[in-house]
Amino acid sequence: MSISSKSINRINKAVETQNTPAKVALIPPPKTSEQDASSTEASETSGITQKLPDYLL
Amino acid sequence: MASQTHILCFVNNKGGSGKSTTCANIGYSLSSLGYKVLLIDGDMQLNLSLAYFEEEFVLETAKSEKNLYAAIKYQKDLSDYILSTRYPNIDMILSSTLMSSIEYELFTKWQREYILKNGLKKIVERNEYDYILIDSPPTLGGWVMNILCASHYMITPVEASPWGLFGLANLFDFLSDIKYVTPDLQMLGVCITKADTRKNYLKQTITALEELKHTYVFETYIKVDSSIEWSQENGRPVMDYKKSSRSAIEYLSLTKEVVSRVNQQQKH
Ligand SMILES: Nc1ncnc2c1ncn2[C@@H]1O[C@H](COP(=O)(O)OP(=O)(O)OP(=O)(O)O)[C@@H](O)[C@H]1O
Ligand SMILES: [Mg+2]
Repeated sequence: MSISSKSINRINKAVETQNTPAKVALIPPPKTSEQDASSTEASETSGITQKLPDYLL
Repeated sequence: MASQTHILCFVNNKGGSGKSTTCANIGYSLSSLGYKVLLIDGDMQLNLSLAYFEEEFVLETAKSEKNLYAAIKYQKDLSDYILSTRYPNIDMILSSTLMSSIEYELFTKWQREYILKNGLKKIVERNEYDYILIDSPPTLGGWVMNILCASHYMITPVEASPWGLFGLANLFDFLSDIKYVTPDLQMLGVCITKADTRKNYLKQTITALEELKHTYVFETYIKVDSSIEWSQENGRPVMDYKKSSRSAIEYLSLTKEVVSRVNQQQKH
């Protein structure tokens, strides 16, 4: 199979698996009472600051 | 006043795939269709800045405190960094060569994926622009993550070459890995750039791309056209440089597709 066909297969597979759980285990940030009160903003933290994501390692 | 600001980014870690050219020219075409546009140059190569401004001005701004690097470093509201271009409906935030060290700046910041998003908040709230277009560097790191997190839609220009498609697959693998950080980002589509119709390989690429199951490929593709280089030499979008050129016509057609795709997504 050519590089282009293999690449297209990889793209299809990547899109199909996009909604499966993340490979990186997320450690939720410790909740402070302040964060508990703010709803949408707090969820954006998503533990990224706790653990260096794959792409920065 | 815009009813809602749509934020689009141009991303592909494969260098030279046509991100800056496409961002600059879709920006101009959008304004010609009556939309108000803000362009953001997110790359230290300053190419989007050069597409609209004189070299001297671009270099001067790059050294000043009035560029994207300074805004991100000090986590400022980006409103104060907007400059007017020579076109009334197009504004721009210019870049700096110092963007090369932006990863270090981001590293120590709290919620570092969202610095750009937060900086754009006030601009978006004012509904001043119909479209914000962000050009990105040929990398995939913390800064490009910022661009992805700040955007509603992503457009990926790709060159019809084996390594172009290989790079595209790597990009999709990356997107799949980071989906949890950017759950709302939508891939608007892949657009073929610098297509050379004399080559059989173009046909093979198009046939290969037809096998994509869930990814939209824009019907308009941008062919190789020396007017692009001449327009860049003159610091103008191609439609302003030579309205009758093939690429000017193609970019307008691509832009209409972009608008209709965005409107379609809005309805869902
Ligand atoms: N349709 C076209 N016809 C001819 N030349 C083109 C065309 N589109 C882009 N180019 C040229 O190809 C080169 C790469 O384009 P561009 O800088 O837009 O890509 P890029 O993805 O932004 O690159 P980088 O990854 O370095 O930021 C430029 O020199 C540009 O002038
Ligand atoms: Mg570029």
